[in-house]
Amino acid sequence: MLNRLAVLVVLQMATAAAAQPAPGDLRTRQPRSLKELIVPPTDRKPLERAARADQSAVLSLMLSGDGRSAPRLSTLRLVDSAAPKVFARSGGDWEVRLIGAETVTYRISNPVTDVEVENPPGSRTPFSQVRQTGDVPFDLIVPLSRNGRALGVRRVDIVDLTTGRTVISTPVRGAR
Amino acid sequence: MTRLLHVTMALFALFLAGCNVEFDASTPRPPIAPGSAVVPLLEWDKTRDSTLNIVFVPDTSYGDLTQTANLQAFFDDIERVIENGYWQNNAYYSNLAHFNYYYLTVAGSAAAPTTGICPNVTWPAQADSDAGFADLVLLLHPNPLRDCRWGRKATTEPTSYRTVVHESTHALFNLPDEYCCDGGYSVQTPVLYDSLNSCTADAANAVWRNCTSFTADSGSAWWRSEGGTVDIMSGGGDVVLEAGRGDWARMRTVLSALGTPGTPTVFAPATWDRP
Repeated sequence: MLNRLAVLVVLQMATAAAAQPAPGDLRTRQPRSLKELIVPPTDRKPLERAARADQSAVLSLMLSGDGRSAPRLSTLRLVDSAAPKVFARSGGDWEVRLIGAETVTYRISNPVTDVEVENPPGSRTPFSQVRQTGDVPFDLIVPLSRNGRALGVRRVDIVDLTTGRTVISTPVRGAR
Repeated sequence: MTRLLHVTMALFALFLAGCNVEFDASTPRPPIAPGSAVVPLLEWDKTRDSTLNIVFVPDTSYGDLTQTANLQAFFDDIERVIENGYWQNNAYYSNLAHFNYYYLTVAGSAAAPTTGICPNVTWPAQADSDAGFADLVLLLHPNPLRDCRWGRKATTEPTSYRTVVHESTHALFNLPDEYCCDGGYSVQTPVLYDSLNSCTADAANAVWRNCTSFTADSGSAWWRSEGGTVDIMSGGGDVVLEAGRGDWARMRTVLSALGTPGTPTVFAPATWDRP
């Protein structure tokens, strides 16, 4: 363990964390020691297990940047992996509904508009949103378990909350 | 027990010194599972229950990663991103143990665009299978490009520290853009609102409230609770800016779902340098 840790973390400074507060900002105080930055495992709450009994569905979607064609599902495959921590985040125009014994929902940003490019120095804005056109392939990874427990998902619906339209509705076969 | 030992050792090591990471390509670690293309680099929580998980993907220009020198070059660039990018932001640094870092052994590629302005990217299939758990997949490429983010995937040069943190904060915490006027905007309280009333009536922003409007190029009007404060989601330049107090409120919500978050000691517009 020590050897592995030594590979990961090289101790290059002899003192614990300290920093210079910005002049004039009275709310700024010295950062705490690194010891305080590490949350003991006993304080951690399990959320979504990874790489154990978790399962996700990868929905390969073909969306339309200019709305000329209806969204379609190219493939749906199940993988033995946890999904990103989608339940921890909130917000976005699309709602993903995992329908099974119970319905679990979470929100994501519309993938067609959730694209940003960095701008060259001197530009009016540091970044810009990119408007995609034509076919927009997008892989959405949907959790089929939560807190290590299978959700029994039988169908996945994706609804655009700005229009109320169902983007995709697909059965999920073979999920645990 | 093993996990407790791991964290205790990390605590001991990090308490003795400021932390810099050094990944050694001469002793690469095994993948997270047999046959997986994902290899851990800095893994605070092997279960990944309490962490947001970031997976780096090498561009093909790093060469054959079975060659130690090539892998070390990739590792060195990842170190720069972590130390000078993420850990230069006080909110990330205050929660460094809530982020696991991995890399993919399969390369992707980012090249100059053939159409549009985003790079022409080929993602390895493993980004959505073996690395399906990743909250952020970051393709590192040494060649200069105008980089883009698509949801949880982004490209970056290893020295574009501000871009890395800005785009990561979108992907990891679902924060909106706060610059005017062609960003991605949506109601994300307590940061961004679609009316003055909703901004001024939200008790969650009372501590820092300075509801200021801007009109997007699309014509829609938005109210930002942080006024004109320049922060990581609004500002340009080379340096990694800090999170605003509204940004942190949303970041805290995500991190609280993983465990007990550490509260930053510095918020924008104050600046900070990692020790």
